[in-house]
Amino acid sequence: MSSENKHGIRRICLLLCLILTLSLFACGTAESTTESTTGSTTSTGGTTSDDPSTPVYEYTGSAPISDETVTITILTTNDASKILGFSEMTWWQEVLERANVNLVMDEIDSSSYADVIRPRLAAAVDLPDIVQLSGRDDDMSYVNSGIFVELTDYYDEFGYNLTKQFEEHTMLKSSITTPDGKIFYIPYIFTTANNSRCLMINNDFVNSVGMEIGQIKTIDDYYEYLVAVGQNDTNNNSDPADEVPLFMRAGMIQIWGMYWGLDLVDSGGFQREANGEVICGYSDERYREMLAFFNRLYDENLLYSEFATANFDTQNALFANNQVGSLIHFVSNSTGYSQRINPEWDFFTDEPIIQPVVPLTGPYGDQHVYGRDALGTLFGITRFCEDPETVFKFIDYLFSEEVGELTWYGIEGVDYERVDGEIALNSIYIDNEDNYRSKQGYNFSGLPSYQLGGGYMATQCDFVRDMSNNVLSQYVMNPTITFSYKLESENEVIQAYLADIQTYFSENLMAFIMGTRSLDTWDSYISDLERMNLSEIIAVYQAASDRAVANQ
Amino acid sequence: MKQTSLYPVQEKPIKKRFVLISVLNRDKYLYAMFLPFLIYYIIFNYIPMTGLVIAFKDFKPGHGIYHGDWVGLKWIIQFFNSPYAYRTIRNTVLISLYQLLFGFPIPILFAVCISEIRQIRFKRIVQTASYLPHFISTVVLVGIIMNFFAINNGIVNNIIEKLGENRINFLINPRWFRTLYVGSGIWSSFGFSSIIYIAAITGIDPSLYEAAKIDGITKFKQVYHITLPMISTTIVILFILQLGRVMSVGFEKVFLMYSPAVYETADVISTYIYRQGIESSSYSFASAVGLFNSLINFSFVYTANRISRMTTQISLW
Repeated sequence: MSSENKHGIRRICLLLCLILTLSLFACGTAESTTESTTGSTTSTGGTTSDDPSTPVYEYTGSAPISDETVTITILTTNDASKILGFSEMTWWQEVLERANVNLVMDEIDSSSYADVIRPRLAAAVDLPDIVQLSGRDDDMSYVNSGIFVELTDYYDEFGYNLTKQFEEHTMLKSSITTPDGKIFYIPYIFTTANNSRCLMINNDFVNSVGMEIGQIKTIDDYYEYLVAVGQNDTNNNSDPADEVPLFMRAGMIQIWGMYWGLDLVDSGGFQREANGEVICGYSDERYREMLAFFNRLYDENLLYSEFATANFDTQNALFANNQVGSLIHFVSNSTGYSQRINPEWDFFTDEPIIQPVVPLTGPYGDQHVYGRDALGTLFGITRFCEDPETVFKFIDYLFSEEVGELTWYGIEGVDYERVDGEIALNSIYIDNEDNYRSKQGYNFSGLPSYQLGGGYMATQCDFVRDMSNNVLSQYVMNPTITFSYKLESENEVIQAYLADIQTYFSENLMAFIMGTRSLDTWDSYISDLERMNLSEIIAVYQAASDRAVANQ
Repeated sequence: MKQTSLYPVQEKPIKKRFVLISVLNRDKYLYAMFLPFLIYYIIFNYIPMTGLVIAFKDFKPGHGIYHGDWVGLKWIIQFFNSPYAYRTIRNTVLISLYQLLFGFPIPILFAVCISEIRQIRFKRIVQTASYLPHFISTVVLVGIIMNFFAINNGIVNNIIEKLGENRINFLINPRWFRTLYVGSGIWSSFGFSSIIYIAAITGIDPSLYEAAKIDGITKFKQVYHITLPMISTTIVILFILQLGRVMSVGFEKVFLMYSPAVYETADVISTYIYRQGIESSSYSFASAVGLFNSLINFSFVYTANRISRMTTQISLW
């Protein structure tokens, strides 16, 4: 090989080495997007002036939070329902404009938020002013590590709107208060009275089998309806075997516990009885009866056979083919399901095809719809924030009535008019063409704020709104054990035993319903739970619940 | 008079340092090409190993991985005290052994078959078609499994029903999980895994086969006495490497395929760590069990390597 060729090869080798080495130090792609949204164009400023003669702006619960524009950074989820970027959501931009805030938002896709945020919080480096948690910091590891600023004094001094929210949701403040009386987080607040989880029945199927919805009052009546649907071609497509009398996804089964007086959902199966005793619903005799009922439904093909693996796509496909006879879900989904079954369904004049019904009466007389814990996700102000006081004021403002109306009803004069003090929605809001409301930021939960109950129901048809507000609201069963922080010794018990017990609950729920485990082995099931230290877990929840009630 | 020695004069030994420098200088461009990968492994594999210390600590977020109280083997003991320790270890080992038992020979047999195809065009088509499934992502693969084996509209159950049998609920029956998992894994990987064996077979001296033909031995005996022995080094090395993954069933595929209905046969160490450790933000626990997993894998590799060296003189090191 000539020396020129050798030199050429050497140069190529060296170039290759350089490229490979530089590629090691190239920055990785970011999973997040960063948006900066400006309320006004003035520069970053604080709320106080160095000149003692200049009056200091005082925040009193309404906008603006400061007389100078404040830049606030936040790390949060982009919220699965979002269609546009936050900077294009007109309603929320109006909020920032009024508050005089420049919000720099670092958004992570909601599907991967948990996997991204946990390591970032574990590393605790260069965090923004506000961070949305994944989970609720159950064992207070973030609290104890000092990542987040204590907010107790801020709540007392600047929590004008948050205090009003706590008066409406009485258990909420005790939920976020640590055992030593401190508060570190701000909650996103769910509406509890208006968007309950209830039984919804396909009205077309009911008529097809010669029944009326008003006849279905008890669990036994409902069973007869299921049998009738299973035996007939109720959707009139010449295939009598494609109907799904009761559709369920994994996670929906537990809601049915309400008909047996059990709360198996938000509290993980633990509930406080009227006498103050905390029990575990998964070891109660009523739960056994509920399992027997569903085992019967499964054996008779009245329960969707793929319930253990069904997902939203499965659900949507079944609704599109009008195969679903009934299900339990949020009442606000009723109109969406009806539109999916029949795109021609008229929102304004027709009754929904999938109708919420008056709650069934269970075997013990329980007649409920399932509410929810008002406590949603948590937000914290990190120790990296230079002005936590101002940030807290902004957060408190987000809980004001003004922001509630702005982010749920829109802008007055554009989306609604005020007639005799009542809100009258305009056609642009009601028609919701091209997902207008979602694009404005309707139901965006990426910021600490709250669900406005009236706003939630505003998008529903008259039938559903009337049913939810005037009928179902009487039967709402909210969790009796809400989230609360526990002592370190209690957290050790939870950490050691709870995950295994929950695994045992979920796999045996499936096994009993599908019949792979006989209900005759119930005593063995209870013995196994005792061996897994269930009684210690119950004792922890009892102590925590007693403290929460005392602090209410 | 200068006295000469009757014995050969020993040359002064060249210092090792100078030998090393001359070797480095001689192959400097090769080492330069190797350097980025060495840096990569040091930064992303060796330095992070120091973080394993949290397996023996009570790690608290925000305090850093080198702080926190020492707890020794607390997390390992907690894992073995769990009622699911035996089940997860059993499932992990069984799934890996099934993959080894059924998945390891198939690429070898397929490579042997491919090497016997005389029509070049057909051979290339079969080869290409066989390793295309390797490029399907895990999520898509599991989606295919869910659709094909669904009880209501799955193509497999449709065929079963047409044959006059009852539909089978594959996806929520624990007995079928390992079959689906291992079978789909073999389908997606056998073609790509056979490439290295095909390359090894291609390197066999053709004169051996000619001599075998002259001696009149059958095709099967040619494979048994020539092909397999000649690629035995490759087989043994890949087998040892495969043994090093016995306790490392892939998390993603199991997580996507499993549900509480099939925990009995599907719940493996990695999914248990995810629920108990990651979802609960118990990173110390997750690290400790992961370390245990890796140590078991290493012991398998070491033992297999020793046995292989003693019996066949073929080994990784």
